[in-house]
Amino acid sequence: MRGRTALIAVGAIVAATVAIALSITGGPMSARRERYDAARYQELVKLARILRCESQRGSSQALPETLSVESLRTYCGGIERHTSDLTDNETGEQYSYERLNSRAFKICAKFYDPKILESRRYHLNVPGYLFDYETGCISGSVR
Amino acid sequence: MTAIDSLDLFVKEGLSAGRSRQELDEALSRAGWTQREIRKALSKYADTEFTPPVPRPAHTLTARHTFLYALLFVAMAFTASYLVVIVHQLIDLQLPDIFRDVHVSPRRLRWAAAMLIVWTPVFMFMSYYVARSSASDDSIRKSPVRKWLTYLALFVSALILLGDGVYTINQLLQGDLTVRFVLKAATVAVVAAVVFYYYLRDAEEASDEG
Repeated sequence: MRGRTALIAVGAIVAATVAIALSITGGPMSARRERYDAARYQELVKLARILRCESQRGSSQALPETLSVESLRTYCGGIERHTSDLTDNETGEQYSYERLNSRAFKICAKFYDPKILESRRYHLNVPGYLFDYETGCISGSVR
Repeated sequence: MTAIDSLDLFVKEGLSAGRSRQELDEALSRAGWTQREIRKALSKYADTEFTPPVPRPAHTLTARHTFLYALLFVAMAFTASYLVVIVHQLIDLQLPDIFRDVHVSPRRLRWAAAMLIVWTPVFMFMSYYVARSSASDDSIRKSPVRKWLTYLALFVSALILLGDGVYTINQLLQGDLTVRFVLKAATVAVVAAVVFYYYLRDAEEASDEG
């Protein structure tokens, strides 16, 4: 309302602040990648829960050799899942599954930046399981 | 009859009787009226020799004035408050605390950025537009809407900035880092000072012009 220079100064300060903010947190592309990573994380957690086999706690379950729709049908009293639950939504690749022994496994996904998940407070709540923020893998054992 | 009405009546009758404005001014001053009140009463009539005295058009309230000033002040309030939010978020990001910051999130930062991207240009444009319109059309500057909305805007801005102040001090009391607190408090203070400096002057000007 008074002083054109003052008005332009305000505009410049706001523009600079917004530019700094967006350069720090990343623009839309970066935000989209974070969302893909968050989705990958959620899917890995779901898989970890399935492998943990809560419903058959008493009996000793041997982990399947490979992770697939068929192998899950014979695991843990029979679990039905779609292929989409086992694959990365963005790339279509299957999440990698490594059977360490009959009771321990490691599942991994290809993240853009798994370390960011730590600062965004994605914490694994499944007891005995660990999410490695460096490699983007969940490792755990069936009780 | 109220005091102001009797003043108006006196001016009207004085001018009708052929008294000069100077004479009326002196008489009223001696009687105890303030310069502001005298000026206001005299300005109700056009400065001509014509009798009976010619009334000046009253400055009417229009929807257009309301829209212009309301939009301007809303844009100002959003710009000021989200500028504070975004700077606070940047301070938190750059000076992280080992304790998990509950309120630091890129979501909040991005929302503040989006608000500023929209509302700051609106604020700048409306400021320019109102100033330009006032230059050609005096009724905008003298509109009673301007006075009321200016004070309303100041009131809302005061509430928002005081709220920011309370929040910042609370963070300090909760054990926030000293450097962070100082920077955040300074941000609030600077923005508050700028807003109040400009708009208080504007509000006083608005009430002067009546």
